[in-house]
Amino acid sequence: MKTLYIDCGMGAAGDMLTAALIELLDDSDSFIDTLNSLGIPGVKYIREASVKCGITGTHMSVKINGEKEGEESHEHSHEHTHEHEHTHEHAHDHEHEHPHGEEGHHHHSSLSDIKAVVDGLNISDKVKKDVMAVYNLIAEAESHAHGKPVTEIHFHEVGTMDAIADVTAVCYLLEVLNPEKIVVSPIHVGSGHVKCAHGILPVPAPATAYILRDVPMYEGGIKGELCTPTGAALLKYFATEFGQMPIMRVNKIGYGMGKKDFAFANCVRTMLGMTDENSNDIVELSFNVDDMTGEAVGFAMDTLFEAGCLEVFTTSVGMKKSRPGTLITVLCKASDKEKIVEVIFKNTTTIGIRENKISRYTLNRHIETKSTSLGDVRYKVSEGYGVTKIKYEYDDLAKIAKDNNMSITEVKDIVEK
Amino acid sequence: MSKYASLLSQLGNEICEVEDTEEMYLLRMSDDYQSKIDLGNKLASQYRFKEAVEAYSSSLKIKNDDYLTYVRLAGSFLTIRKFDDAFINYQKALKLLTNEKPVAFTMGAYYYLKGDYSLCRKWVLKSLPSEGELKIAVIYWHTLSSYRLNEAPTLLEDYDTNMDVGHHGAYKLAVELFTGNLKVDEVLSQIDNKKESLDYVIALYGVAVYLESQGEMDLSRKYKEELLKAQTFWPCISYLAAWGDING
Repeated sequence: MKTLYIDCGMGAAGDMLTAALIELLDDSDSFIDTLNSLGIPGVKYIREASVKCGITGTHMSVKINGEKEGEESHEHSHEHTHEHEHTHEHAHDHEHEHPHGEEGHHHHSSLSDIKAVVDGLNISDKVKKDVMAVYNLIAEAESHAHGKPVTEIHFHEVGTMDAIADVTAVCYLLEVLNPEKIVVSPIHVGSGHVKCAHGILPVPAPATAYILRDVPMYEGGIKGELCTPTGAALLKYFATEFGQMPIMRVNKIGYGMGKKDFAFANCVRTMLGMTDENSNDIVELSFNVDDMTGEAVGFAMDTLFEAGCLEVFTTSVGMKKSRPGTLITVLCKASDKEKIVEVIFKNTTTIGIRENKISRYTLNRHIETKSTSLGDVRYKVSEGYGVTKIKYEYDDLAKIAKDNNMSITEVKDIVEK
Repeated sequence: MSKYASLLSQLGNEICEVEDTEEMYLLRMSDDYQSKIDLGNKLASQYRFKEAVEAYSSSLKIKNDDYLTYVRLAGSFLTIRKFDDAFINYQKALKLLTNEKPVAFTMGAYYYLKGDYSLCRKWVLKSLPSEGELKIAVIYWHTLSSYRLNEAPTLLEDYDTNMDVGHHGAYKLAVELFTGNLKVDEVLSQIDNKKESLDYVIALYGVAVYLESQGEMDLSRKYKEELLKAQTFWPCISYLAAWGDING
């Protein structure tokens, strides 16, 4: 299965995700041209090489009407031209370099403003739907944080054109990359406080924290806002699942660099590759029973197979008070675990289930059919690890044997010729 | 609550009574490189150079390829008279540069404060050619160094009365004295009403060293002691030079 794994060990932001996904493309340069032709008003995407802690990656920035969003043109001009004075004759003058407060730079957009922009873009309906779904997550979070209806929410940091550019780019890139599954690591959100248009807020910011409900996240040891509301919403919307990196064969890796520098490489890492759904994320569930009849155990086993278990088997065990009992072991996909647990409790007398996460190695299997003098017989071909194994379907052999009044061995001898 | 840290809190053991602003609190709440640089700059702007050293040093643990950070760190060390540490960091800044010019003036200041006037002259000259604002400062320190070396102040020949010195009027006022265009009394009368200003400190230090070169040692000391009363400007080169002259 084509799988995208997103490592958010240093959080995530829209620009970082864009950059990390662009690195997965074969022809990323021409894709920048494509992004610049989407028709986002005044927006120009710029791709830059970036090095963090010795790792080379991509940093994406956006120019709005020729200026980088959030850029302060007045800043530090004095410092650069008069470095000779820096610490001495005019040290106190630095205060003059910040005449503006934080508030003046924010642009405000409503959800309907954003929808109007998105509707006019040169992207598929699916991407438009994805972009608005991501923005709806953000709007819902802002609504919850501020206690206002979604219709009254005005976006601050996320409402600016560069955020629209980031969200659109990520949605578009995922349409192009088209992974069947997206696994996102637990998200490092950072700690401390951050200043925004509303004042000083704890990290993660309330909107981010709300979006990441039910998503594994952690504070980590770094002070700073590592995951933005935009990054959180993109991950929440697109993730098929959150968890550790699955067993996968990776063929492309991308590094999307953030603006800031930390002691750790400030990047989102993406890995695109193949996972083998037959061989990973298997859970073993087991339980002992000493008060079920053989018939009841048989019924439970059948029910468990029907529920999707990969394997169900029993082992005779001696239990407490010298009672002979049955250990029932079930293998199932991790994604099916909750459902299987329900089936076990419903169909057995157990009051507790043990769980082990296990790995297994399997051969790739497919079914073929062989025409024989006795009729068609299906057989399973299992391949991998340098071997190929063939096994005829017992049900087919048994049916032929019964129909022709033959033994299984006789049928098998004829079929194998 | 004082706005600036006192000289004795930075060069001695007096308690620093300046507190963080809200912005500085937030900068301390972020572990990224730029926040540490910004915090260092904010601390330096409050004259809290001991803490600025810590902030700049911690930024270098994240990213160590920006010469300007080393210059800022060196400048903070220099301001609190940690000459060896200042020198080490100026050298690191120089290693990151393809030419010495961006660091030349501050290296000159370092050598002046350290008392090596020959190297001060050599280094400030490396910052030329430049626009008038910097050039007048170079002429000032080059001339003071020449006085200290009992050598002819040759760079005064490059001084042009009509040069645009920007906001460096105090340097120009002192240089006017050095060239003989103004007399000591005329300079003093022009700065008499600016006693709590940077210009006062710069111009008066120029007067004091000029008088020293004329053998007027007592009068020179009197003016240095006078300028040291302008404690609001203690981190400037002229003040620190006067402080060093008096206290050794």
